Amino acid sequence: MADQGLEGSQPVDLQKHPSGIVPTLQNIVSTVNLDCKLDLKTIALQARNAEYNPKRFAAVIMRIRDPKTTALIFASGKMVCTGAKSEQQSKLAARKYARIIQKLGFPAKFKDFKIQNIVGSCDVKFPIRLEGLAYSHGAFSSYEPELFPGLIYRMKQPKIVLLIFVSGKIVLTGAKVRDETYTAFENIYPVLTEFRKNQQ
Amino acid sequence: MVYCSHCAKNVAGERLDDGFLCCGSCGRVLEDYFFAEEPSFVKNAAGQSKLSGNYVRTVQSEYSESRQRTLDRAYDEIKYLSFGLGVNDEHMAEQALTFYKIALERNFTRGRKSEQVHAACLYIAFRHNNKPYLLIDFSNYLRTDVYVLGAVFLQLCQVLRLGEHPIVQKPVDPSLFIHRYTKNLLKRGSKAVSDTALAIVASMKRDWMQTGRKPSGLCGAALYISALAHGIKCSKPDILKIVHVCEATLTKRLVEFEDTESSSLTVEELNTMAKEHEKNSMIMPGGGLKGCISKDLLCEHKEDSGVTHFALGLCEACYKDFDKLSGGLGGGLDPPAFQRAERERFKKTLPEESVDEACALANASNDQFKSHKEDLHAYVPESIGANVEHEATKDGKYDDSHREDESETLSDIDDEEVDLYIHDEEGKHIKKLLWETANREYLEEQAAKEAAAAANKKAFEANFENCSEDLLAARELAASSAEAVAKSRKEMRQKRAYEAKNTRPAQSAAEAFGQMSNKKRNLQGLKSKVNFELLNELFDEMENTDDLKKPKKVRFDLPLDNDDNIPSKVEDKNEDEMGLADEFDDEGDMGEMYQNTENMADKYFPEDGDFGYDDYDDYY
Repeated sequence: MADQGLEGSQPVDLQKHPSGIVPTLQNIVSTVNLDCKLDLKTIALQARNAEYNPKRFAAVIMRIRDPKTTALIFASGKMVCTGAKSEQQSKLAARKYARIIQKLGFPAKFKDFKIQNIVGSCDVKFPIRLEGLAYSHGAFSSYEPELFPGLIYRMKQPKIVLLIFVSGKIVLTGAKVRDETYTAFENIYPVLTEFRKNQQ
Repeated sequence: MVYCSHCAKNVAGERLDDGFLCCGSCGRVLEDYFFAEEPSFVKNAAGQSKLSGNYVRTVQSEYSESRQRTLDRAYDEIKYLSFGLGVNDEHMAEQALTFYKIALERNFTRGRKSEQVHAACLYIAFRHNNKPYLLIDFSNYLRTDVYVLGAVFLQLCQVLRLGEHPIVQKPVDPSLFIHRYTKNLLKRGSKAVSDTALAIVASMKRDWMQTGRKPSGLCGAALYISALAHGIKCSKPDILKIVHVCEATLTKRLVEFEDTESSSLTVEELNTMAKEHEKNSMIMPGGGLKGCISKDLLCEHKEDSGVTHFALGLCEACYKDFDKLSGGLGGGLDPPAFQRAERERFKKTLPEESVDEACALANASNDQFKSHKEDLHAYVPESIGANVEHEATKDGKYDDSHREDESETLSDIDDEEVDLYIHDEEGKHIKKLLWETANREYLEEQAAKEAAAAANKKAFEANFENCSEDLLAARELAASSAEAVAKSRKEMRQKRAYEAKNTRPAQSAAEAFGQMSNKKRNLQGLKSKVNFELLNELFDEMENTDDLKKPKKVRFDLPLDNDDNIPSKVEDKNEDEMGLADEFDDEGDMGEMYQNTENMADKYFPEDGDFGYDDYDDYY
């Protein structure tokens, strides 16, 4: 919420965001290779913030408070970091996890850090007639109210999946770069205004 | 008999060495070929007689027998499913089978339940022909999760390339289901109730209640209101049973409809309004579409040259369908989800009205911003942060040189914070106990696996050891020693059994008689012990014999064993008179042993003497 308020209070760059709305990043998934074999039981017993249930899932689940993230640490040395709100926070969190692993006695490195997915959301603040969007953009839309209340829009360029709801809330997922999220939203915004509710 | 055209009659045909069939009378050649036309049978490897040759398939058949059986079974299943849902039109099954054939060729059935694929194909056929059935109806019939069925349906649309086809492009219209639900509710069906329900659904569309909602919930609410308005007694469970929604959903829809203006109308007013809307449906809102700049055609008719753009990227026919299906873009209330979002936004903005609270909020946000900046400075050096953001913006990847540099500098992470996450010795111990308790099953499985591996390794080593000759000799020695131990144990068991048998008291006349005969033997034994002088002489002779024959010391060891046994026998004698019987029997056995060898005649006597002497001493 603070991030959203912060962005709201700042003047929006209309050249980059002609709609005047900037999507808020909600979640970032990144991967990193620690490049050494790990004994998961040792990590689980020595780390205070780790849980490991080998019957359920073959990875250690570790959490840190700042940035508030969750990591999956596998015996092969691969790690997945989720829950960060920006690219810098995701990398910082991954490096903290790597440092914890180093402190536990493993020769962990920090290789091949990569952002795998970025999830953004925003609110256009007007109702949207999803049936019209399904009629006119049927090639990209999947609207099955019996299965999901939103319309699933698969944009080709950039390759982003948008979830569009009647309340005006939009979720953008599948980006690997922040700008892809922004570009996708600017592409869809004129279409949404076409199918907004007319005021009497 | 064959017919000869020259003789003009049937004649006996002759087939000579050259193979031609000739007339027996005039010699005319009737056939110049030699083909057999009767069926012939051959025996196969199993000994069965079988028609020789194969049936040659015609070009009419595209499928193998197995594939044809699969399609026939699929057709039957689809037909049963269609009839089970209440659609007795076989064209639906035929159309669904067409979809199924394509899915089968694309290997869509692999890894999925065939009944779900059948249901998905039939659902597409129903959608195409506007049959009033939802996935929840198929789910209810097949006892399957509706979302599992929905996933199969969506994947099948991808396989059939229906993503750009109007079959699945056009959303489902709730009005489609009103008549079926009314018939299910009222058995006979009622036109008045159906018409009122349709008017209510149209009103719900205009009030933006439909978008994002399941059609069944809207139909249930409309049908419930309409039935009650027409004086028909029905309860909510009756509606829920037909439309397959839960009571909370129905209640929510009723409350939402209550908030609209149409809820205060009477049935006549509602019908009148519906008629008016039907007449005026084509009037476009005046100012609503002015903002629309795009004039490109986007609907299914975009490739038709004669069709022109009407509104919102749709041609006139498509716009009419859209307006009828959705209720249009104008008028009505805001959708309920939007109203909730508006209320939340209002709650957030409410504190800003207060000047003091606004100031406090501003200060708090400023402090938060400062702390955020400080955190950034503390944890991420400005240069590294800038580089990271820049490269992330470029292509989402980082170059190797920067990666290598940064991997070596994990030391910039705050050690105090990292140490907080690591246990001390006591914490490790406690967590180990807890973890091993929580994962006992896993540990037991691991231990069992290790034991099995060890057993396999041991067996392998044992097999390997068999090849060694030294080990073979060692094994033989072990076997012989084991046999010796077994023999000794067996002898001990026999002795114990014999003693136990003897110590048993008499329980019958036969045993008493046996004991009396044993008593007689005891008396004889006593008499033999009275000759003290002879015993002494025998003892002296035995000592001399030992001195003369040293190699036979082994013989002397055996009597020592007997000496060890004598005290127990004496004790038995003290307990009861059966001990003497043991003594007598043992003596007899020894006698038999020595009678076998002629040279042992002298030895027999000294042994006996020694035996008697020891008994004599113990007796006194």
